[in-house]
Amino acid sequence: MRRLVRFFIHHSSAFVYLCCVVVCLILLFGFNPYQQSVYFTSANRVAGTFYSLSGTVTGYFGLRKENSELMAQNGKLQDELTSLRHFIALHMAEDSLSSLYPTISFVGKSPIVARVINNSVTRQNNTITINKGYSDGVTSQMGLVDQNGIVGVISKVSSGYAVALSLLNPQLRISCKVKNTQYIGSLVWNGKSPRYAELEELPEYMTVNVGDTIITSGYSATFPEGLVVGYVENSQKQKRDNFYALTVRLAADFMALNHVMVVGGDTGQAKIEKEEARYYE
Amino acid sequence: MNKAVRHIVKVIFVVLLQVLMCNRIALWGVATPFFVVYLFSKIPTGTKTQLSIITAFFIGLIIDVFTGTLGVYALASVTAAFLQGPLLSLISYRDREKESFVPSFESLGRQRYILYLVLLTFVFCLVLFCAESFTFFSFWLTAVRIVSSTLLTVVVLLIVDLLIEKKS
Repeated sequence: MRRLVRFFIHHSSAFVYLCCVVVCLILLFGFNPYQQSVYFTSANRVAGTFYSLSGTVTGYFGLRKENSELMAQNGKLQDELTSLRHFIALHMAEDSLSSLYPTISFVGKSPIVARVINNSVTRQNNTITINKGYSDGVTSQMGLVDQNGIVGVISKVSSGYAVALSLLNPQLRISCKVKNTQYIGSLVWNGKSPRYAELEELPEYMTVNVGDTIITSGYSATFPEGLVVGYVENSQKQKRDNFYALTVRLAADFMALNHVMVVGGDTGQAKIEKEEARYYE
Repeated sequence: MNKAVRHIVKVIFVVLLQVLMCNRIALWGVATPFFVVYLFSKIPTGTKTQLSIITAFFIGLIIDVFTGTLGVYALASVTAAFLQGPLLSLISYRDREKESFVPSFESLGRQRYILYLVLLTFVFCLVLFCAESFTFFSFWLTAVRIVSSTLLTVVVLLIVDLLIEKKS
């Protein structure tokens, strides 16, 4: 017995080490993304405050690029606005029914604009922290979009901050389709480059061209249909086990995320309710 | 200033530097400097290993909370703190029992000190990247990350050491 005690005392540092390793492994593998406490992620108040402080400084670095992108998008919206105005004017003149006007309104609530205060692209499971939380109306499972395309899905929310799984996270699969076709696949990151992801589960017989746009399918509750995800990089399909995969160049620039919009959520809920209503009819 | 207070300020400074700056650097998309290794490399000889392990655990945990990788940095830090003593006695020709010293160019000699830093940083990076990509879904990418991050970290640590030495 005495020898045992002496053995423990002699190797006590090794035992302390083993205890710490066990705690670390529990933290590492007991990681359940949906039940894990908000306090142990960057959504907690202290980490969030530090990140938003440093974000106020680093936010200036990408301004020039973001500005030019916003200008481009502004121009595109202006174009669309003028063409829509023409369209409306045309219709108003055509059938002189002024009842057309009130029917044009936005569906769903307006998106929440947030700033990215922490973002990783080099890890295997990348996440994005934004400076809006449930006090601003952000809830889990809402989508994250920047001016170019979709970016991620909100996973954890605290009162002032929220953490989203980035598209650069193999845990996230998003139902997408090739624009103007009905080919549905699921988009997943392969862990290599932050610029590319793969569209999987495609049928063998489909054909695509380089540069074809990949959009959200609207089949999940998170994103509405038709948001840009990326572009086909290589028309050559690769065979994986039982399906085909395409390389997709992501539309959003993950290295320079700054301002994002939080979308969806309630429309998803509305969709589920609609489905249920249809089921009970 | 009180010695303990100075240590705590140093730890906070290094952790913030790691979280707010170093973790955002990825040269060529692979090499990240882990400046936090500086803290483990400067543990004086004769420090109780249990104490340094537990301190390292909490330092790692704080970084984990910031980066959202629960357990990854803690595991790497704990391992680095645990192996620091044995590594040092393996490399150093000085008798550890006699007097306490802080590993540096001066106390170890240039070559031995660089070797010590490379080994310690390599252990840290190896554990960190293996824990992070446990599935090994791209073995070569992980290997390149380990090696390049080790080299970058050692270069950063040496530069910081030279600067501090010059100043004092």
